[in-house]
Amino acid sequence: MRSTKLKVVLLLLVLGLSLGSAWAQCSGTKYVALGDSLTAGFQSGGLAEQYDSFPALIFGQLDDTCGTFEQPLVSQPGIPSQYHLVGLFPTVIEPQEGDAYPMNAELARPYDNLGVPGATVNDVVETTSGGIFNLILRNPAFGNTTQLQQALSLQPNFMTLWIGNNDALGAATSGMPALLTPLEDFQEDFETIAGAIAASGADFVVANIPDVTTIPFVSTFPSFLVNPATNQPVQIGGEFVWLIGPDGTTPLTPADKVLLTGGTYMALGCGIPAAAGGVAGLPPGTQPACPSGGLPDTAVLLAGQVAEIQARVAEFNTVIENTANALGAGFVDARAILADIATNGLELGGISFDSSFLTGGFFSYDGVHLTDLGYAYVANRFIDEANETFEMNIPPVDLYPFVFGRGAAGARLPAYLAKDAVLSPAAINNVLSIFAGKDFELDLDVELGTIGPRGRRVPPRSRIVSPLNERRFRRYREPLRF
Amino acid sequence: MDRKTIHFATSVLLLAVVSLLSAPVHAAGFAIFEQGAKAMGMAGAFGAQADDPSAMYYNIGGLAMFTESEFYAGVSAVSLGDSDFTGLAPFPGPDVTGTQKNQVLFVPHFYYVRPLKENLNLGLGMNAPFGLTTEWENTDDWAGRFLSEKAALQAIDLTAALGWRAKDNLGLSFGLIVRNSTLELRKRNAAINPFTQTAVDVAMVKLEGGFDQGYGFTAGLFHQPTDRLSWGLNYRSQIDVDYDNGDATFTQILSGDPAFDGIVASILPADQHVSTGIAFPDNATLALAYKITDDILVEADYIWWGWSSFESLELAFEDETLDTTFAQNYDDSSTYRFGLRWDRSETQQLRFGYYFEDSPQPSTSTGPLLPDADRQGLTVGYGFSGERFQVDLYVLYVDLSDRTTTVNRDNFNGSYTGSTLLAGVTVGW
Repeated sequence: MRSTKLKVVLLLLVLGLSLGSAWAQCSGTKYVALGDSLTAGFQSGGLAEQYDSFPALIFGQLDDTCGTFEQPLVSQPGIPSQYHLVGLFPTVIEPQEGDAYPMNAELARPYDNLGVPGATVNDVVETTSGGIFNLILRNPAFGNTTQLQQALSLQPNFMTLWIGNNDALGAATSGMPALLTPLEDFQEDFETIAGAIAASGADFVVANIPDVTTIPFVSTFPSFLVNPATNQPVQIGGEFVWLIGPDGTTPLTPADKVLLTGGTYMALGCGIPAAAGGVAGLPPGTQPACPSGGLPDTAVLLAGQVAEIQARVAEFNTVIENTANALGAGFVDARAILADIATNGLELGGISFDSSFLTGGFFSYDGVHLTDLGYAYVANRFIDEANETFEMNIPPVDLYPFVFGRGAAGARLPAYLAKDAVLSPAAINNVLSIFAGKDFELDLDVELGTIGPRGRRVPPRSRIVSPLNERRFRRYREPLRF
Repeated sequence: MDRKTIHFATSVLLLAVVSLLSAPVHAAGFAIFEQGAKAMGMAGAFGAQADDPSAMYYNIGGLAMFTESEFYAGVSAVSLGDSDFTGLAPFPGPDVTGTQKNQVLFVPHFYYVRPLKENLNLGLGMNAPFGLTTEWENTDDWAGRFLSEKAALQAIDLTAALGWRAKDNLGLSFGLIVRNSTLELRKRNAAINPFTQTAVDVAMVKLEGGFDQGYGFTAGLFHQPTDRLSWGLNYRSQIDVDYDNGDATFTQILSGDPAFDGIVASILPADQHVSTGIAFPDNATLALAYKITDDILVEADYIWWGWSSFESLELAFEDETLDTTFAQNYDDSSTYRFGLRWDRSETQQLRFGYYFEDSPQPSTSTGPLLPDADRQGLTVGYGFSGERFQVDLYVLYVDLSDRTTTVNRDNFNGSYTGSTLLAGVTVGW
């Protein structure tokens, strides 16, 4: 058991009790959100202008609040740079060009949105710096405190906790079940987090972990070859042409999942049998991107791996739900909600949304994180649960602005598409890097008071470097295609 | 560039838009009870009087009691008052409002009765017992345009009946009905623009039927046990009209992005035939009238409507992949009508009436296509009866209860308000 409470006490001493006591005197709702990228408002591969993160939307619905809701806001095009869709023929998705800057880094207290992209349950109780944690936790200025410690130092009386996605989804998006957090570790950390929140006296709502097969990153590509002319499965001798797995010889089955990153490899012939025009079956090394000729294991989730991840997620979710129930917290079944969107879609006044990549309107260009509409929908599920569990009577978020786009009367194409889009090599693998959490290098030299007034763009103090991305994409001279 | 992956993305778009183009289009029947100016002066509480040829509608039992030929023809003008919508969060939200077009509809009626031989009368009628027009203003901005911009339904009945005067104070009648009906629905379709990840208008869909027929019957009884007391029973059967030769047209709305518009164009369904059907409800009337004094008569009618017939609307396109079925799930409903007739002289009557009725529409179906609500109406009427002719006039104000739905099946929630002013004249000779 970690000495979490002791750390909290020390933190309060470091910060001085004045901050906390000021909020403690407020009779309204003091809301703090704790979580990962989904809480942070991460979208399309980056964090940018998170005004519509689901915690910010929830805060906007509260009528009697203690102060403002502060977030680690980042200017466009985001950290990392958010993707945009460059064109449909071919379908190219790329990071936008330009440098982004923290816009709220001078805030002299911890943020109310303490969602850190890439954070695992263990990060919440252990990690104080590194990568994008530096952007949000801003240590050592806050006494080398963790997400949990900073959250509790704000003395919230209402919290949301959506954590654990990175303990499972990183394994899914990288095709590597070995990255799954062991159950015992997960349970210990999750119970520590939830226990500390409960001990603080705050009302809180927790959410569980979605099924990996319901996100476009996993669900978009079929595991068989599709004829581009007819959009029908290619059949040779009446049989489907199954894509070839990582070993270069074994065909995939319907239960195997080709990840969104697989599109890049298929464009190079990887995973496509030589008889159908690909490189699978040709001498090893014909295509350096996939020496075996099959889809690389990072781009495929084999059926057994899917089952392994699902089984672990089910165990995590049992821990989450049981802990929530034991502590009197509200419980949002995010797994069921996203499964429902994937299966049934969402109908809003004759407009259909679903989990389709690009055209579903619910998931952003990274295939993992939600659109504004998706986050607004999730915010309403948290609100429903808070209302039910704590009789809070929070009105639902109005979805209309997110259906048609803010300020859009018959939304038109964004202006940037009219300009010459400059193509840069970094691309969809930013998603992978963000799941790598601390390993993602973010060399932000943040000091309180030195960044400049909120909302004003200041010169970049550093650039974002992701060696993982650079390495992976140096091989490919052309943009990603899906 | 790799064609396989490009086409994959294209197919994702195709699938999404195809499914949207088959999104909800639906309609509901709607009764029009204004089929004679004399009856409507008493809020339609007329089934136990039925002493003009509009008995063909209000209680066909009265047909048996005529002893001379009569024509009775007129029109009701229906003026929709301010009918507004205000949204509720989560969708479309409190900032969204809508207004129906103010319009005046004319609903005619014509009846003829003549004795065939002693105790046996023939009746012919033409009227419009069902119909609706719901058309929203500012369709480019109207948040409900993906459900309905306009819904218009007309139903014109031709009725032929025989009335048998079984006794001097007892009539029994039976008639056959041919219902001619047409339907028009117009809405838009949306798709997610992949560049903005938000919804945009991609097509206008219009379904337009010709006139199609359905058949039914009506039967009634009229009995006057004493000089002061009379009563009646009437039944009109359910009539199913199949609209077999409707035309569906799909008109693209450009987004401005050639690639996206090209995809939409490539999967926009061809204009084609569409068929659907509406099961118009049956109804039954029990009417009771009593003369309190020599000059004053009061009547109360109870009308039962079998709206549960309107379970669903099924659209069958030539391209069967576009077929859709929309649940309506109406409930049976009741109307209560009360009238007072004051005989000022041999030639003049003043009439007053009040009615209220429950909406048959469940809140799940309350939407832009037909926002129905409980309603009540107040009427005043006047009648002049000369040697050769009679003239009847009425004015009716109908107030729709505010109807708020939070369970609309399309997740389009909010409040509907509305009122209607009607006036009518019928001339008999």
